[in-house]
Parts: sequence; C-alpha cells; structure tokens
Amino acid sequence: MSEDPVLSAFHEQLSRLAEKNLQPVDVAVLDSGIDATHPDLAGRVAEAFHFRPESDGVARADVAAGANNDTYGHGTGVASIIARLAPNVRLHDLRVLEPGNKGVAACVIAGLRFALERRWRVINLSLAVAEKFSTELIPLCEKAYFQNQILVASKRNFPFPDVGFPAAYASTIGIEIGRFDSPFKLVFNPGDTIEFTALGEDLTIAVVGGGYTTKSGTSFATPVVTALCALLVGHYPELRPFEIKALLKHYAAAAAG
Amino acid sequence: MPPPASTAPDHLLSRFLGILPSTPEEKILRMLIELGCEVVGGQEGSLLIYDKDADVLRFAMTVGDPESEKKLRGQAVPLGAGLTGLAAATLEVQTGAPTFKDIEQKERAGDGSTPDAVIAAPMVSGDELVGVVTAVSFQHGKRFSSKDARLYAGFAAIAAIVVDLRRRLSAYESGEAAVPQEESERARLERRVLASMQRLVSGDPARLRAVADLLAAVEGVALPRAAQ
Repeated sequence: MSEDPVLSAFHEQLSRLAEKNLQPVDVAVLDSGIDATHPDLAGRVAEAFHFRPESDGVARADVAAGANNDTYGHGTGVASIIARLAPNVRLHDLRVLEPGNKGVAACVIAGLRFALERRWRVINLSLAVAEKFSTELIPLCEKAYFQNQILVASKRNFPFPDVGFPAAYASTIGIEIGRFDSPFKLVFNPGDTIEFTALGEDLTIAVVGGGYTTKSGTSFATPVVTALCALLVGHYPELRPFEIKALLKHYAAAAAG
Repeated sequence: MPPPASTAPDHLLSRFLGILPSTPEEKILRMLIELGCEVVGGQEGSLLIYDKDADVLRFAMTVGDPESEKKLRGQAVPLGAGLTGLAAATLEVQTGAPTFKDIEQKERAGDGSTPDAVIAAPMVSGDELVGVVTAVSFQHGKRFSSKDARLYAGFAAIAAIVVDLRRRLSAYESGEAAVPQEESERARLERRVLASMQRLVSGDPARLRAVADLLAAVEGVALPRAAQ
C-alpha cells in the first residue's frame, strides 16, 4: 500500500525536493509578460499570450513561443525566480499589464479566467487589484480552489488603501515580504489575511534583454512560494490547495525551530 | 494657462505647485527630502514635479550635490520611463539596482555611471499625481530594502500633503474656493503634523536623527506587521 502523500510530504525536506525526479507542473504567470529569450528562461516558457484592453472589453492575442513578451521587466524577473527554484515548472506567460507596468483590472480578470479554463496547476499573481473588483474576483478564486488550482498572490508593498486582492482572500495564498537566508524559509502569520511571509529582499532576477539585477518587494516574494508549491505538487500531485497551505505552515514552523 | 514649452527651471515649484522660493513650504519640502535621504542612507535626493500638459516629470529640486542640482533642474522624464517614471505611472514606490551581465553580479552592464541604488516614491494628492521624490546612493553594493521604500513613501506622502495644503490655501486666497466654515478633522490633523515637523527640524540639524527615529517608530506602529 502506498504511503499517504500528505504524510509523506510532511516528512519531506522542502529544500531537497528540487533534486528529486519531479513531474512537470504548469505554472501561469499573470504579469507584464516574460522575455523567453533570456538564457535563464529559454525553453521554459510553453506558451505566451497578451491580454489588452479594447473599447468593447479585453482582447487576447497569441504571442510566439520563445519571444520577448515583456515590455517592462517585472514578469521576467518574477518568472526567473520560479524557473531557478523549481526545475520542473512549465511556464505559461499571460501578459496582463501594459507598458510601464500599468495594470488594468479587466485584463487581470480576463487572464485569470483563461488560466482557470486551462486548469494550469499553479497561478502566480505578483500584482494586486482594488477591493471593488471583488465581485468578479472572489468567484474566480473560489473556482480555482475547488478545481484544485493553487493561487499565490502578492500583498501590496505599500498597503493603502487595502492590502491588495486577491492576496487577502482565503482561497489564495497571500504573500508578505521578508528577509531570510534561504528561499526555503517561511513565516506563517496566524490571524493575518496575508498568511505567509517569504524571502523578498535583495533577490537576483533576470532582466529583459539579458543580464541580472537585484529587486525587493512582495512581487518577488510571491514567486518564491509559487516555486515551492510547484516542487510539492511535482512530487505529490495529489495534494489539494488546503493541504499545500498546511504543508507550508508546517515548513514555516520547522524553519523557525 | 498651460506652461510655455521652455519651462524656466527656477520657477518650477511655483509654476506647477504654487510654492514660492524661500517660503515655509519650500523649506519643508527640502527638509523632507534631506531627512528622507538620511533615513534610508541615500546621498542625493530629488523632487520631480508632474507637468500634466506635457505629461512628463521635471526635476524641480535636488539635495545632496549642488552640481547635480545645476545639471538636473528642469530636465524632463517621460511617464513610464525609468524607475522614476514608473513610480509616477503606477503610483507605487519603486526601488532599483544596476544591471549586471552575470548572475553573481560582478560585471556591470552599461557604462557603470548609474547609481547603485534608487528609490522613487510618488507624491499623490487625492487621486492626482503631483510629482515623485527620489533618493539615490552611489555607495558600492548599496541596496535599498522594502522597509526603506516604505519609509521613503511616507516622506513622499507628507510632501504631497504640503503641496495639497498650499493649493487649497491658494484657492481660498484667490477666491476660487470658499473657505470652509469648519476645518475638517483630517485637514486639522494634517496641519498639526506639518507644524510639528517644521518645529522639530527648524534650525537644529542635530535633531534630524531624532526625527528620523521618530518617523521610523511611527511607521512601525501605523503599518501592518513589519517585514522579517
């Protein structure tokens, strides 16, 4: 009889998961796009799309695989963290931010809806929209939860007028920024709408067109957790979103000693 | 009336924000940038005002290096361009570091003339962009943390209140707006905060550190859980 995957995962060292023979995990990155020509990301981006606002709604366009779909650099940085930490990840690039990293909530919502249709297992949202869009966002996040998709989302860096959505919903894994000596360390925040704190200070990220820089922010703490989720799901595909949260809490407690 | 194409650098604060040279507001803005730079460990700081008609930011005030002030004043930065333009476009505080060719970050890309660390924080009055304040450091390996960014964003918020108060006062003085019968609670509190700040920092530079520590403490209380 095979061992219970949840019990097995509880005994697994998160930092050693990357060395295992992991199953591929599809991860959607809703952001400013990804530069798939960067050496760190070449061959890692399975598909790319661009959601852009139009007068009658949001238009979706296919982007050639392996091209640069990033006009700013935020998404490339986010994707490079996921790719580095989780070698089993297959990235799906959903560009929902316009040049200058300007966000249009309708594009974010359209991109999320598309990610749900495709049932990609983990969805990274290093962005936040205002609470007024909750009427549309909450049912989508609930749907993701019930169809076994894991949403990882950023708290706002400057949490005004709100902490940011969808990070604050129970159906997502909300991420605050912290400074740790390893990406495999976490803090669980009991009683806080943003449940986990992850490494987000001074992270090395890929730059559009080549090269690397250092960035800090909740945007970069979020892909750290996305990568950890992808490692877990790659080894234990049966895990459900609530089990992933329980495991992250377990690891957080273990890391704290 | 929109500003002329050749905007005179010396009058940017008065032209766009209604803040005349050597007024208390001008001094407070300068002190806020100086204090903000000191708190986060920056060597130079700037205030860029938003020129709505041209849709660009313009350097209006620089502290830390008189040469930089001469060189930069009046220069335009398009919205969305660079870190400063990005802070204006997104209305969110941004931090930046140089680009390196290698992941170990040993060999810098470009000519190496860019600062080692930059913060750009938007000044927002209501929903309206007023300008951006920046802090830069040329110290090798210096990086601004997210806590630095939050702190500097606090200075930007106070600077925006200064501008907002000046605008409202100008509107009352010119008769464009009626003087409210009763001061709103928020306006009263903002005025008290500014008056206290002015008293604390006026004439005694040695008090800057104490004020910085105070602001850091206030930030720790006012914002949710501090990052680890």
